[in-house]
Amino acid sequence: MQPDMEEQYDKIYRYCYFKLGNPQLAEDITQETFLRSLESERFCLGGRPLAFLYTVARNLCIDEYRKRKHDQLSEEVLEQKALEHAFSQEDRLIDSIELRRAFLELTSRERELVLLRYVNEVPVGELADLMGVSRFTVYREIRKILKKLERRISDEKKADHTTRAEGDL
Amino acid sequence: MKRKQIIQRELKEIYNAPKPAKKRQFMEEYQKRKEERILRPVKEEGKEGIEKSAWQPVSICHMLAIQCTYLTKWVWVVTAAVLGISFYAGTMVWTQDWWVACASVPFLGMTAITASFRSQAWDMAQLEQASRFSLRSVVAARITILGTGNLLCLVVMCIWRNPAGGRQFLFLLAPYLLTSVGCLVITRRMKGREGIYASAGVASAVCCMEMVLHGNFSWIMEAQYTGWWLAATAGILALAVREIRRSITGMEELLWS
Amino acid sequence: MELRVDRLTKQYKNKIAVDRVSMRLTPGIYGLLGANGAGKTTLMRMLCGILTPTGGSITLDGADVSQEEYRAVLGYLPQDFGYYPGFSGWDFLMYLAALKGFDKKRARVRCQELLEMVSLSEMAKKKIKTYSGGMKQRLGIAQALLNRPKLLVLDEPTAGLDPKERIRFRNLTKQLAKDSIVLLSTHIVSDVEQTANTILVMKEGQMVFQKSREEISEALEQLYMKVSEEIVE
Repeated sequence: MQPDMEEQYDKIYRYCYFKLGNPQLAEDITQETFLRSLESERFCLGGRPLAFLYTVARNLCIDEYRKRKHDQLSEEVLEQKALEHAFSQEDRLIDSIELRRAFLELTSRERELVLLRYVNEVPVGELADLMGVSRFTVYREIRKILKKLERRISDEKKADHTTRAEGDL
Repeated sequence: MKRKQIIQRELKEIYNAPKPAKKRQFMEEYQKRKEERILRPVKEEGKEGIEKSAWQPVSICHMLAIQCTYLTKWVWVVTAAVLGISFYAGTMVWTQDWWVACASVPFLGMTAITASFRSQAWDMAQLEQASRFSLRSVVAARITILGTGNLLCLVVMCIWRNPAGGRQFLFLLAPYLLTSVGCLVITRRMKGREGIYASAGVASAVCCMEMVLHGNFSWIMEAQYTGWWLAATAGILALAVREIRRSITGMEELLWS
Repeated sequence: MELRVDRLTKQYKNKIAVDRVSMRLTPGIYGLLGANGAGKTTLMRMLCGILTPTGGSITLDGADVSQEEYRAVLGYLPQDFGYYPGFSGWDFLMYLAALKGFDKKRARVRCQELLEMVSLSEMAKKKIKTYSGGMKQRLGIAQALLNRPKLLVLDEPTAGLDPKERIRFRNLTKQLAKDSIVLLSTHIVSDVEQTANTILVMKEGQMVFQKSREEISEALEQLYMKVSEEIVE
């Protein structure tokens, strides 16, 4: 089944943006990915079109990193930039702040997994193919990440409580 | 559970990218290119990848296999019914049960012919002909498959009844061929549903004839008349062969003049 | 790429349907005009290997019409075509794809893309019985394109299409004509007026006129009337 390309445009774009921090570049790479998919047998006939798209996009992003090595802007830094920019957009519930802080403590691979699974809603089968692991591994890793986040958030809550309690005294 | 959903929602908020600027324009271009790819003709070099199929030599086996899968379910239903009825009759204690088999055999003939000449009946002949195989070979393939299959059924029915039954085989073969001849003539002249009904009519007529034969003229099944049976069957066989040839070679003129 | 037709003839007992027609076609759109009975359909059928000529030859880049290589790159849309009872648009297309040599996987992808292109995706799983004339015609166009034909023979392809579909079809043929030979017959002059590079006119089995767009000075309509001496819509 061919995916809805209109929908995938936004998703691949989002993926690239949070890797590079640059909207124009992200869009260029998204478009290049799409054009390559047109002629690809793997995309048209293979069972995992989304895995193909993300693989191509990821490789193109890596090429960009290599180009910018001399600028000393590593992947991590670019990604952090993008996230912080997104974070600064809105200031909402207390939950958000804690979640966001917890988030920044994940590894970039964990963040990528979260982005793909929960934000871009990539089916687990495709995700497994893309990351080169089994479906079981994907489920397990996601559970681990969620636990980690939840623990981090409840830790922070406790810490807040104690500081507030101390402040009251 | 609820916590997880909250986290999911929050994540979507976090991962909020700025809107892409050139989407509309690009998607139009993308659709245009996609259409170009769909319509682009086969290139000489393009024997790989997406364009592979058009250049692959297609074997006769492949063609036979396709025709097998596209035989209508009626063929299977009728064949199963005929075999089932004969088998069931064979398990009964009646001594006259043989006529059931003979009377149901015409329907095998009917399905063989109507299934083989489907293309003409439903106006698919031109499209099939313009594909890689000539219509002739398609029809010949069908007749071969169905003919062989049915013949095997006849043999099986014979063995069930009487392992040494050579004469019995004639009793089955004659009505089968007779029906085939009738249906061949009909399918040349009538199309679509009409042709099918007419063919069914022929099969029913032969079926009735068989029943009458076994009912009132059962002496004709005795050993001394085997010679007559042989001659009659040979005659019908010759007719059948002639009609098949007519139907296949005459296809072009009949259909498209 | 060239389609070479050399003194092609089809003679029946009492009539000559096609009389020594010769032409050389290269990629582009060819409009074949002519009154009913002029021999258009017979000519097209011969080009598709459906009728055997009584004289002359047809070759596409050296392959004769009777060879499999010719038909492997041929797409044909007949004036009338039927379908097996109970077939849906999808079944129909998949069946013909199978006949043309596609394996199941490629057939599925190809049928999907073509149905999307002719806007029949939603109706694909419904029975052809329920299709309108225009839908059936679009299905016919889709099947003609299955095997990426180098030679596309279309017999009255716009019959039954509404104006919007006609325009879509015109754009499709324009795109196809870039690399393939598109031969379409019609008796509606406006169909080919804007798109055809070359006009062919048949009368009583003979090719009485064969000129490219640049060579035609007068309006197509008048020309057609002059050549065929009949009133056209």
